[in-house]
Amino acid sequence: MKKQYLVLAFILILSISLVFVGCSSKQAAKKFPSQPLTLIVNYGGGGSTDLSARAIGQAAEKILGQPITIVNKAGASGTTGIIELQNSKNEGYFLGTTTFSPLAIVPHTQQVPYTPEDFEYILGYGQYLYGIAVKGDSPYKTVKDLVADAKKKAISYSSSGFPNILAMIALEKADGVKFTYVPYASGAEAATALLGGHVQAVVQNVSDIESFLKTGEMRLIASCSAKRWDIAPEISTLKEQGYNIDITSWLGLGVPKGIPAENLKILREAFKKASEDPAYIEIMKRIGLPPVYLDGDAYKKFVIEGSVEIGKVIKEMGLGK
Amino acid sequence: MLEMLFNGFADVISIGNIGFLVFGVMLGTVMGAIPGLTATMAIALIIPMTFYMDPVRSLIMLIGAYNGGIFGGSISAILLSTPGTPASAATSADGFALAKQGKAMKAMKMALLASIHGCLFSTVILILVAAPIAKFALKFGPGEYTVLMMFSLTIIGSAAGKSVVKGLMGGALGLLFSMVGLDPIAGIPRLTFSIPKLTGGIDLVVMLIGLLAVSEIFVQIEKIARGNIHAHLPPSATSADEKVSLKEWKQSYKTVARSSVIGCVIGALPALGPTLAAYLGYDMAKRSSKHPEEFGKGSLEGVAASEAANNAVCGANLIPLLAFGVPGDLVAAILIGAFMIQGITPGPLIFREAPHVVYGLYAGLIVANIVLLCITWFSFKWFAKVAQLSTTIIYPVVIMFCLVGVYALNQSLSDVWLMLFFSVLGYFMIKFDFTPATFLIGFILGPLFERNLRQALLISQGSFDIFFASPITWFLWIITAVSIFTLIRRNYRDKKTHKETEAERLEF
Repeated sequence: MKKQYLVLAFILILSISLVFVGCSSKQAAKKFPSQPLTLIVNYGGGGSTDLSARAIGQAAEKILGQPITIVNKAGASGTTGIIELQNSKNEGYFLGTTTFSPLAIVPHTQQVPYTPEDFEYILGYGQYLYGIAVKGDSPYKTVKDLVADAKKKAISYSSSGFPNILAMIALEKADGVKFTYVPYASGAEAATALLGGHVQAVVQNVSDIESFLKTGEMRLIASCSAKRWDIAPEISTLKEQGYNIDITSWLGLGVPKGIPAENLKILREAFKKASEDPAYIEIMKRIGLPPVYLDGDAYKKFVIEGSVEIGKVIKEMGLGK
Repeated sequence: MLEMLFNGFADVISIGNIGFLVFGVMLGTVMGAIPGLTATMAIALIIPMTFYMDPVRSLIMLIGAYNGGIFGGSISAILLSTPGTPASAATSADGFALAKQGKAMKAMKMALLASIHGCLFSTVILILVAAPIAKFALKFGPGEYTVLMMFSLTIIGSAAGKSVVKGLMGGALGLLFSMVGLDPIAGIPRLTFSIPKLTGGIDLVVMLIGLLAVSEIFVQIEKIARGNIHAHLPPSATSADEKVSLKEWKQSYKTVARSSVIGCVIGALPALGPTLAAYLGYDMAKRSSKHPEEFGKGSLEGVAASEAANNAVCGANLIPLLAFGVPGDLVAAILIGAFMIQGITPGPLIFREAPHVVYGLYAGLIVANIVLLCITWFSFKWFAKVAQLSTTIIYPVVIMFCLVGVYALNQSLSDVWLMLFFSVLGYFMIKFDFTPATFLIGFILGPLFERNLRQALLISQGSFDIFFASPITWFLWIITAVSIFTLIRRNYRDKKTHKETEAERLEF
């Protein structure tokens, strides 16, 4: 009987001591960062955004001297993670992948509680290019061929959603044709749909298509971005072909606004150095995201201006919410 | 090719690699076994470790964890009636019933043997015929998938237990709940009642843990409160109850083989997953079994069927992954990331660019199975001991794991509330003689069915011809018709026997 009371008392003491674990003095006295940071990734584990975030996070850990924990909050075209970041404390211990699409494109087509102004940006560190591809043995050699056929019969294309489909819509508006858009849950599935012959074209990122270009199972007929693809420099961009559309998505890191200026400066410097880390650059190359660098303010400008641009395009296309 | 395979084995069998493989298998099994933690989580934990490892080592560690995880789910399904992973949901009914008869070890051993068989079988298929199977899988477009989903919906009928009508109601409810979230085609929120959390839809694991695990615990707690049960499980009556005899294995072999094939097919078709495979395998086994009435009450064959099928998906999952870079399920999606970190792009080029990695992976799969077999066979005694603890210890601990595990999924407290909602729902379903498993099947099939149906109609410009366009669809329609027919016939027969026994009783 006595033993039971002893055990109970012991447990009671332990529980009470737990209360004190939670209390810690205000961090202002210590140098930032004085505790681990959390990086919220707005796409699922294993995808390029997630991998690139882990890579740059690992490089930055060494510089900041604190571990960075990656948390995946995927969903709703990347907006779930952004919303999560918006609602996080803004001392600088919470950062997130503030990718271009959910910040600048998605708000024009669905309700979101944030705007690009709700965040401060650390840097832009990766670029996604998009392209239109057809099956290797299909009769379409150029975009013009595809458009011409669309006037005669129903042509369908697959993709995983925004911003990819803006490219096809630009074609539709410019040439007066209609394509049937068949949505798929991921870029890989959209690509396989093309391979199986269930659709006639696919609009996706470099990484989803490039291996099929190399084997000849697919043929690129246009780059949807302002730049031509490194692996297919002979294929022109839609802009060069006369269509007023440029879809380039950017990867960036941000924090909720209101962060102390000193902490933002520390984060920016640390991640700039991290982006020059050779191990990080190697991983980025391997996952198909050649590293690029845009400083925080330039990234913010890019996102806001991009949002206005895309907003005009979307309104013209009648896709606005 | 054989030479490459031997090279693969040579790559894999080194002290370091085997060490990491064992670690991966153990981590996966433990996390799969704890309800609330899943194989997916185990893999997500391991990924950062693999950044700086060589490709073969990191991939076999991940594969080991996946395999272990899918098997681990069956341990808690059998011992606690709470599936550790969705893939083991089909195992819990029969597995737990067997455990209550004191045959827990037998059930677990059968689950292990069936799982190993399933995975090895699909690995062999993977090695030999990945490319042609992948090409064939390409032919499955939205039209074909839709008919396949129709066929899959008929298995709700057989998972239904006593009342087919109640089973269908459960399935329909599951379908309804699966629609909460964004419309798969238009991206518009529906059934979300303006709750932002629900725009992402309801997570399968959250729903599963609530509906099948915690609700079952509530039912058990109620029974205990009425003074029925003391120890959690009876100890085995005879030593025969602790083993799987050669005779039993032979009897179940046909089922295991058939389930392995089913698992392979489902695994090779992207986006379907091991849970569906498990239920299909279970259903097929029930239809062709000599003792269908035992299914649901402790059929060893049932355990074998679902476990062989869900583990067969492990190997077959790699077919679309390696051939096209399309993941069969969430775990395979994470595996793509692991590949890419190593600078290898899964897809048609992988056989040219990095064949040694591929063959190392094959060899790794085989070795992982052997490792799983060895480790688990000897630790079964400990698992069984856990199950013999008093319920006052087990149930609170399991509930704690469920709560923490569900929270750990997305660091979201609303997931926990959602889980509790489903556990109450599940509790009432059980009390009113519904089978929660039918809800699960409807829930899984809903999105698959809807998305493919609508994609198909988009492609066909609204014409229903697309569902009869290819030989594959004809075949699928035929088996759907057969399935419905046998279901109706069984129901009719059951009613007849029921009426006869009623009549006999009354004559007394």
